[in-house]
Amino acid sequence: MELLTDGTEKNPILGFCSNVISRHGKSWPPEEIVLAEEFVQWLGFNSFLTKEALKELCKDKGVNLTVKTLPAGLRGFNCSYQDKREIFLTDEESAVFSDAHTLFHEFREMLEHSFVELGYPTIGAEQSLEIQAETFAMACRMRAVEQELPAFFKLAQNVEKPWARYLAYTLFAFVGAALFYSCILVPQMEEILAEAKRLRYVRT
Amino acid sequence: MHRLRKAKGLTLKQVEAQAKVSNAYISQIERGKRRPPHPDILKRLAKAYDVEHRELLVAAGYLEDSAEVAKRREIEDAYQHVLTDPTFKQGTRLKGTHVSLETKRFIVEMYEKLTDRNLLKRA
Repeated sequence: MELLTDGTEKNPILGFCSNVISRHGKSWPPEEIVLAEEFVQWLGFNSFLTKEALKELCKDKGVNLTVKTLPAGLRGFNCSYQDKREIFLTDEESAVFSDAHTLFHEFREMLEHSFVELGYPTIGAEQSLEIQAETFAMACRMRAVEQELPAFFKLAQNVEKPWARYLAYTLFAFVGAALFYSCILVPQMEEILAEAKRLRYVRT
Repeated sequence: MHRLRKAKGLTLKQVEAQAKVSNAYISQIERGKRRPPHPDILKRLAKAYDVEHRELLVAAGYLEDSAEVAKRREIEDAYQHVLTDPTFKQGTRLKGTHVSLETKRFIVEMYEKLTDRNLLKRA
C-alpha cells in the first residue's frame, strides 16, 4: 500500500494498524480492550450517531458502509479488494445497538486482515477471529459508553433545583447502566429476539 | 396440480377414472389440504396428465430440480473460489454458524462487484 508523504495513508485502516504496531509491537498482541479503546478514539464513534452519521464516519476511514436487506441469517458482512473496502449491515430490526455491535465486529475482521498483511497477526491458529471480533465489539461499545457518561453527569450538575438535579443524576445513572449492560447483552438479546420472531412466524 | 389438470382440459372425474385415485382426494391435494401424495400415486397421476413422473416428483418435493442442483453447484464452486482468492478478504457476522446458499450467493456477488469478475452465469 502506497504511503503519502504527509503520513496520511491511502488505506486508513492499514495506517491505524501500523500505528498500533508501532506503539505495541514490543508486547504484541495488545489486549483487546486496549485495541478497542484506541480504535473507538480513532473512529470518533459515539453511541448516539444516526445511520447516516455512521456512514460518514466510515467514509472518512475509507470504508463504504451500506445498510440493506441481507440474506436471512446474515447480520453483517465486510470485504476488501485492493483499495476498495465495504461493510454491509442488515436493515432487519434487532436488538438496540445491534448495528453498532455488528459494525465493530466487521471492523475487527478488517483490522485483523491488515495486521496479517503487516506481519503482525493478533490471532493464533487455535483462536477464532469470530469470537475475538465479538469481544472487540463489546469492548468498543463499553469504551464509547465510558467516554459518554461524564457528559451526562455534567449535564445533571448544571441543573439548579436540588430535587431536579438528583432526579437527573438518577436518570443518567439508569441510562448509563442500561447502556453498559447493552454492550454485553446485545448478542444474547439478538438471539432472544430472533427466536421470538421465528416462533411468531411458525404460529402464523 | 390444479393448473396442470386445467391445462390438460381434464375433469376430476376423468382423472379419477384414468389414475384410479379418488376425485375427492385429488381435489384436496389441489387445494393444499393434503400432503403431497405417495410417489406411486404420482406415477399414476403423471400417466393421466401425460407428463413425466419426475416432473411431479420434483413438484411434490421428492426430488430436486436438476436445474436447481446445477445452480446450487455453481454457487458452491464460486463460493469456494472466493474463499481461496488471497487478494479478496471477507468476513461475516452470522446468526449461528451455518452459511446458507443465499448468503454464499451474496458473498459471491459482492466479490464480482469488487473484483469486476464474473463467476455466476446470468440468465
